[in-house]
Amino acid sequence: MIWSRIGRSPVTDMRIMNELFPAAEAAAQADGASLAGAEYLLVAALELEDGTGRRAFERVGANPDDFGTALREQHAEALEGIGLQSIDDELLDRHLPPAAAPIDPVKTAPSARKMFRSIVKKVRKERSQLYSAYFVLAAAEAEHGTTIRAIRHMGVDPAALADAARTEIQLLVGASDQ
Amino acid sequence: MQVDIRNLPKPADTETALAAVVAMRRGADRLELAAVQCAIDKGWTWVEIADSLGVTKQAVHKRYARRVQPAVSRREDR
Repeated sequence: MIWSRIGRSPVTDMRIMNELFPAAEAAAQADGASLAGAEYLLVAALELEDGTGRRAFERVGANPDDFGTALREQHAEALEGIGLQSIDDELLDRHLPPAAAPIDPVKTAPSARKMFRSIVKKVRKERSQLYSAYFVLAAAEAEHGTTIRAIRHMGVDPAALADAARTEIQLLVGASDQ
Repeated sequence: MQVDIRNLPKPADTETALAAVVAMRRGADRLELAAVQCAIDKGWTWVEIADSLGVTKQAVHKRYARRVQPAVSRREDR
């Protein structure tokens, strides 16, 4: 597995992943998706205890809790862009079954796998450990896709968000080096 | 859902077109899940659901058996 050992704190990293992937799957299920994509990985990462991902958003004046709403709104915006009335999300929400127990958290959508691979590469290169800010950084560095569209929809400058995420990571990496 | 062809993206607007595809796929997935749950609640069999969706029973069962709630537990929830 690509995440058998990531950074310099394998036990911590494994604990984080054991929390992250089921949470991403739960977020995907709650939204009616069959697999967790990068956007749900970010939603889950923003709830991680280290708080660096949330603080990265706050550094650029954005509320991380708005990301979920931005996701839905950018989908509606995309549909409207081709002249479709957006699907009534709230009506569908009422008819979706509640999220089931995690079925297969390791099985994710290609976008999530791509995001996670890039994070693992960075964490290893920087001899760091897995922080939620790495997920924000990976999301902000993407050029295309649902996640970056939602970030832009929030009115956030991706380059500024990436810088904010790097700052959060450096603060923790620097502190643990001392 | 009605498509106004005058609003269809120009070929150059690739980003919009691709994002719309993703949004439609997401909407279709959500609608399918809600519809399958509705069918189960009404006592439909997996074969009937599969036939309606134009897929095999195995395919629909694999995708939804662990995801939807059995009709009995849904009724008890109410």
